[in-house]
Amino acid sequence: MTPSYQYRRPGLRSLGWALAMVIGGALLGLGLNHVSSVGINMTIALGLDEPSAPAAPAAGAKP
Amino acid sequence: MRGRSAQAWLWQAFRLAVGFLFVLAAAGKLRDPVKFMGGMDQYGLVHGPILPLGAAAIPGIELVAGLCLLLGWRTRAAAGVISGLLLMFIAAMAAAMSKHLELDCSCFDLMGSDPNAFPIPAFCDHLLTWLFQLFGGAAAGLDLGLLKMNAVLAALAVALHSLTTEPSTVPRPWIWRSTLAKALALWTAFVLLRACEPAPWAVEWLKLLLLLSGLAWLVLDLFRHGWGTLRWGVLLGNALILGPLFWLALYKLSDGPSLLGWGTILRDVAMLLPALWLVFYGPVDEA
Repeated sequence: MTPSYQYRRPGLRSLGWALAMVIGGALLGLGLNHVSSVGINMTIALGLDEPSAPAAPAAGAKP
Repeated sequence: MRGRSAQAWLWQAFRLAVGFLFVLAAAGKLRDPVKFMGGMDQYGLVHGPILPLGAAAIPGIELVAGLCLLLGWRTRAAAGVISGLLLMFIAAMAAAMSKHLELDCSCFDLMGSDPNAFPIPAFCDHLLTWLFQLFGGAAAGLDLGLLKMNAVLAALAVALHSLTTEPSTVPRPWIWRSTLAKALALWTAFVLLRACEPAPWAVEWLKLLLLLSGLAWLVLDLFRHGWGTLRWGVLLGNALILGPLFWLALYKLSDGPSLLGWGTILRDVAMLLPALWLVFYGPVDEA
């Protein structure tokens, strides 16, 4: 049985579902990229791999 | 009610086709996200951390929306998401073209595409090539490029026909006949012009004639249908049919730059039409 089609302006419910699909899809994409062996390496792509400055030795610490 | 039922089934077919294409596109991008990120970078529109995050997120959004459309679950919302994505892709390609960039759209990397050919997915390409050979190929005077372009234009005409007719009780007179007639007439004119390869002076006159006839069509619509012509549906129909067709005709007649960008936009518009229709005419209980 085919559904009945009729003009109806999309309401808040449709908008909410669309937003949920965008957020859910984006999270799914990021998750799949994370577990994929050929995915984008976000650590490098986002520049998170730069060596951080060495922490200053605490006062009184041994050299 | 047989015709109405046939239209309903036609819409089911469009829903499945657009959903399938989006799942296929998402699968290709998920298969090689780094390549997709490189493709996005070519457009020069997105920089910084948004580029890798977007390249990872977009295939997921395409997959979810495409699956929902395939399964018929939350059709309106899924069609809305797909419409938004297609509008974004069209705007990106238009921006690239305005910078005179000749880009492969990076849409269907899994299926592959030949950037020198008219950009339709490879399985359609193989089908059309097979048909081309079946009917005698170049020896029989056929032109493969023309066959491909006609296939895309025919798909666009069918999509528009479906956009402007609907199986519900809402009356929608004359619009589809008018727009479909324009599409078919321009398509025929274009095929004939392409086939006879007119002299340069004739090409200039034909360009002028095509542009004037398009304007005359719009004015005629205004006189025939009054202010009803200014309804968004009619304006959109006219713009979508006349715009790409004129550009295709002018580009091909002028032997201008590659049709890659325009072909991509045309294909996206052909998918956008049924998606937009589903947003407004989807199952009632989902509104």
